[in-house]
Amino acid sequence: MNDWLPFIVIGTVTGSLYGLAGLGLVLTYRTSGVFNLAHGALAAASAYVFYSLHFTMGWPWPIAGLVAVGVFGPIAGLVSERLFRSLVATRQATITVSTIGLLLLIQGFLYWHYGPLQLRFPDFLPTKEAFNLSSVSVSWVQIINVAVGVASFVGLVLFLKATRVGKATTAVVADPALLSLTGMNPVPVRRASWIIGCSFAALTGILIAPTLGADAFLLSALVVQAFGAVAIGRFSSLGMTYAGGLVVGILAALAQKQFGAHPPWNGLPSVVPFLVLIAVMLATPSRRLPKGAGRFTGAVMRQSSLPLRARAVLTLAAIAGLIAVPSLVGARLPVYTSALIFSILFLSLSTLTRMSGQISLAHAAFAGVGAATFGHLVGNSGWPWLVGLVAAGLVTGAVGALLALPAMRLSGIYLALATFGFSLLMDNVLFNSSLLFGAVKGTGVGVRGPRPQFGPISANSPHDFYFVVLAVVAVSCVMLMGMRRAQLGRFFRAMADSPTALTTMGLGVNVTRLIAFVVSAFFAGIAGALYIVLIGTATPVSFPATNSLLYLAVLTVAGAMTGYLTSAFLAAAFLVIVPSYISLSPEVQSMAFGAVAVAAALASDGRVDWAGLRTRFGARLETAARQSTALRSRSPLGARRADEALAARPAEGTA
Amino acid sequence: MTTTSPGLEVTDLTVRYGGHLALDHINLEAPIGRLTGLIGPNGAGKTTTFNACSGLLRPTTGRVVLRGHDVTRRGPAARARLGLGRTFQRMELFTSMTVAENVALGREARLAGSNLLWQQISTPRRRAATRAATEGALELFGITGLADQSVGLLSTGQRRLVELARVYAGGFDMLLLDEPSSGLDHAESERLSAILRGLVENHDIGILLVEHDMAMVMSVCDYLYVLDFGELIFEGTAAETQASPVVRAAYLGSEEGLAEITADHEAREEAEVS
Repeated sequence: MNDWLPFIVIGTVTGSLYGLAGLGLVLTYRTSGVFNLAHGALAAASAYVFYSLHFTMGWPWPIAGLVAVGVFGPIAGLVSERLFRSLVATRQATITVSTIGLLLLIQGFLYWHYGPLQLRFPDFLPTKEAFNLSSVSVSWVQIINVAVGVASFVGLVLFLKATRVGKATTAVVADPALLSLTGMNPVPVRRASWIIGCSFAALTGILIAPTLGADAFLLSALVVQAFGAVAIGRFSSLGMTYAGGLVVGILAALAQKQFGAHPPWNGLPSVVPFLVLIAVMLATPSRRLPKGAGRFTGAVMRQSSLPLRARAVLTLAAIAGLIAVPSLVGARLPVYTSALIFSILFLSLSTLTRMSGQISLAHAAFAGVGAATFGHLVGNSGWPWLVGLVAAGLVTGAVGALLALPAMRLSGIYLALATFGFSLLMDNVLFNSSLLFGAVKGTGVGVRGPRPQFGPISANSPHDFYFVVLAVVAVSCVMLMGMRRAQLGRFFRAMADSPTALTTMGLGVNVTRLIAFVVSAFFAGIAGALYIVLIGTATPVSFPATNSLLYLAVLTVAGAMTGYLTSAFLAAAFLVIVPSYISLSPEVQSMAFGAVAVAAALASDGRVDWAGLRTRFGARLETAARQSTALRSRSPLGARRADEALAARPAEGTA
Repeated sequence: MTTTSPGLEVTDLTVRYGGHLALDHINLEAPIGRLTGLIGPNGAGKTTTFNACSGLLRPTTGRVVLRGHDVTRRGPAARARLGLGRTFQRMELFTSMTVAENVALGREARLAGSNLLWQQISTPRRRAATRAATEGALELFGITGLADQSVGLLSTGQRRLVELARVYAGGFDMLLLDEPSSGLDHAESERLSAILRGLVENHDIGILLVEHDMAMVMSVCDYLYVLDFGELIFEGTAAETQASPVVRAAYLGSEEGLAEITADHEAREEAEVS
């Protein structure tokens, strides 16, 4: 028992802070329907505000703390409320991407302003021993941390019970649909909860920073710990959320004791909250999970308005351009090769998110699996290059099938969280094992991806490799375009539009989801295999989980402008080619992608999605208006008039 | 009257949302070869009945038997493969796709089912069957001219017809139609009535119809069920329903309401005769 007690004490302290972060997250999720993935980033920002005021400018800590929690928190809350209010009616995926954008924006800013290195964040609260618990010393700072957590929880409960806004908030948390029935204005309720939620995040940030250090990445990942707490509270109960924080904190501390010294399992403590999250979500019937804001359905695919011949000409020009690239760009060629590889990854992501209406925050992990498979088969075991490439796709496809299991039960934000959890598990634990990138006796860490070799012909030079990749891209495009137009592609697109209709016509949509995940993972695995060939050697840190967030944000930005194929190439260009020319630091890049993702999400409200929205809400209004003209509009002429009328509508909507 | 065979049989169906009793021990039968109407004021439980029959909603108690198979524990896709097709009051169309693609999916989805292989590949024979079913359905509902239009750009009435064509192309023999005429004008409703009668009389199809257009209900339905606040308050032929004091009192609320409908119906029949 005495071995475990210190860990239980530490776990209780951090767990109380996780619970505090979780409370803020639940409050905002239940009142606005937006699951704020940037919650941890806000905590990080607050910690840095405190850092500047207290450590750099020398303000006394109570004042610095008051500014960080009492000024920065509420301002962040007000801004967030305003930002997300306008997104309520868009697709859930759009809302998710906008919170990812905010996360990238804040994280990028912090890296840029404070530097990528972890800053020392000394304890500002007294660390003297307060008392001794059967020979385990408990310090004042630990007591204060727990006390603040408990006090915030009790304060929140009292606020909800005693004030008018609080009572309205309680009602909304219990059943959001009730608010619309009471006739109460939802804005003050949402504003209050965003202010409280963000202040809680700010408070968590400055209290946990002495433990984690001032590190934008670690602090942003705090939201991950809060996920576990929130899951135990089943995304609605405040009491269970706080208790859940304690459970996650203690479990993580115990895992630290048990596995801390045993690689690759030493990464396990940091994914405890996600294991909890996934376990809870898989055990909870999906109808018991509260529904978030936004619509689950409605495709965002755009159909090209160009005539067939113009499209053919443009396609040919693009192909000619791609073939000419090596003779035009000189030493930059690897950048273009890399972009081509990423275009396959984006095609894979797009197949899942845009064509089939699913969401995935696991694509970095998929690419990693493909890369590791290829490295082991071709680099270590000497399989033929092409066979290894296909095998990498197949193995990743099998992993994708595994991830289709949560997709059959969950949608929207819950699916996003489950896939991200998988990505974190791969990144923190499994990538370190010798099965993937971990050290094998004799070879050291990482696996090698040899350049292409087809029998006696080798394609060793960057020039040759570019064309090999181009060929793979071409084959992938042809396969995916063919699939899109065939029956399977129709099933995917129909699933994005209305899974309900599809199942009432006899299609087993869970099977369709499975196929979508396998197809997507297959191509992500191919991209990963090509990537390891490009970079030569891949290590456990080559495919960080957070890249999955970046990929989805970039694809959303590109996809707001163009169709299925083009958006993949455009996204790859944004991610890889553009930064190589304007030499932005990665921090500024991340900021820029974040800002643009938020902007794209906001812009998509009312433009890209208009047709879908209109179908849902406009149908009834139209019924009356059209009854008299319906017969006439059935003639081709009338139909065209209907087109024109609808084409004019977005303008009315945005005006 | 055509000969009938067992279609949809619902016994003792109860649906409870928390404390609210949405459906209270409902029994109804909609055989093949008969056009059965299900009417009642808003909130009576008509769409809830449809959702429970098609498997989108799990009833608290009760049994749903489809063509002799007990499907109470089967999912919506399995019921569809046994021949149950439906449309939605709020129209669930594939809005990013063309009319022809929507209609074709009715057949393709049913042929592919939950089979991992058949979802991925299609044989020439299946493709031919799909094409024939699509063309037939488009023609029956008079929307062949719209085949290549995107559904997102159609009027409500046109979309209703697309949804009907889609469920017809699926080859389902038991159809649950949720307000198919709303959004259609008078002439289109008349045409729809004729089509529905034709399906029941010549195609071995059973229809359970939820409809607000009383004139249409009274003229096309062989048999009617009347729901009010989740309870089945009356069943009988159109004439019996119109004559029923129970329906008069509970469903229509006022004598004038029923008189209006009866008058409208008579006026229609006169118009048809003349």
